[in-house]
Amino acid sequence: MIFINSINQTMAAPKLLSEEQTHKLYRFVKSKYVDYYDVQMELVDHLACEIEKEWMANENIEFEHALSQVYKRFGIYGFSRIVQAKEAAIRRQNRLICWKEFKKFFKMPRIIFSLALLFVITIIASQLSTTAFIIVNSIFAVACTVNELLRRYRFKPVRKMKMASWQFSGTATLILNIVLGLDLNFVIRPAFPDFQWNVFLPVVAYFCWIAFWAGSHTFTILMSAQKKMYPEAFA
Amino acid sequence: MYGYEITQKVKEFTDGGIAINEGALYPALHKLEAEGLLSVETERFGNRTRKYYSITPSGLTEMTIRLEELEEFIRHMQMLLNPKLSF
Repeated sequence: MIFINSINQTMAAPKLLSEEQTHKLYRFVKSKYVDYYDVQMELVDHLACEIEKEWMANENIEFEHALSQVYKRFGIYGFSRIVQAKEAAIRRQNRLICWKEFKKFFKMPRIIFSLALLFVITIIASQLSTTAFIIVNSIFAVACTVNELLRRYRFKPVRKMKMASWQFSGTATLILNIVLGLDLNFVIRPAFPDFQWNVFLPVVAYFCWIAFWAGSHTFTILMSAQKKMYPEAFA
Repeated sequence: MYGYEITQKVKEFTDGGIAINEGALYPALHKLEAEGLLSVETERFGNRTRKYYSITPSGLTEMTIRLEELEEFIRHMQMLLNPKLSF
């Protein structure tokens, strides 16, 4: 009889977290300033695993008590270091992908598009004065920036599901074209009137456009990965 | 493997000799993911979502390089601590 009882105890299904307790974990993680859904999700699963392990040893432990015990293991900084590290990792990932995408514009097959762009910019620049070229280039850059921002807004995760990757996805390259072009023409150019600005500015504009498209590709790559991994955040 | 599983496997394989701190584990995993050394997938587990990490081909190459560096470092430390002096 004792033997049967011990088998029953061994075979008993492990106690798992209920739906309500999982929601409580999400609320707990949010209350500790973890705003990003991708980080929340991972921490909730980790806490849940630890709590379920505690229950395997003693299933009478209260959920709240088990949670506080498990949270202590994250040390005095709690989740804050994980969030900071995630932001840094995403920024790094963004930079690495963006640089990789940028370099692709100088390799086959994208170099064909890149050379065609350089050709078009050179033709336009040769037909216009330097100031007129910068103004036309800036108008195109503003139009493309607005278009890109609208595209990013459409990809935005659903409300209350902030994603770490959506926050840091190369937005700097969007305004680089406009700011750099205008600065060079209206601020720096008057100080160096003898410099070959009619050659230099189209080349700067060309690299800015390449950087802009590399940033746009980076966003698409990161977003496709995020949508695949967290479809619920983009439903 | 998912985060919690990694902590348990490390504990198991090292007979409790190495216990990974949760506050250090996730930053390391996110950094390796950002560098393309780990790839990630998510799966529903009961009423929650679980994130699985697996090593990429470039991650395997990097692992070999770092292990070789570590072995070299240990070799150098042993040479420093046990010098074979000759006069």
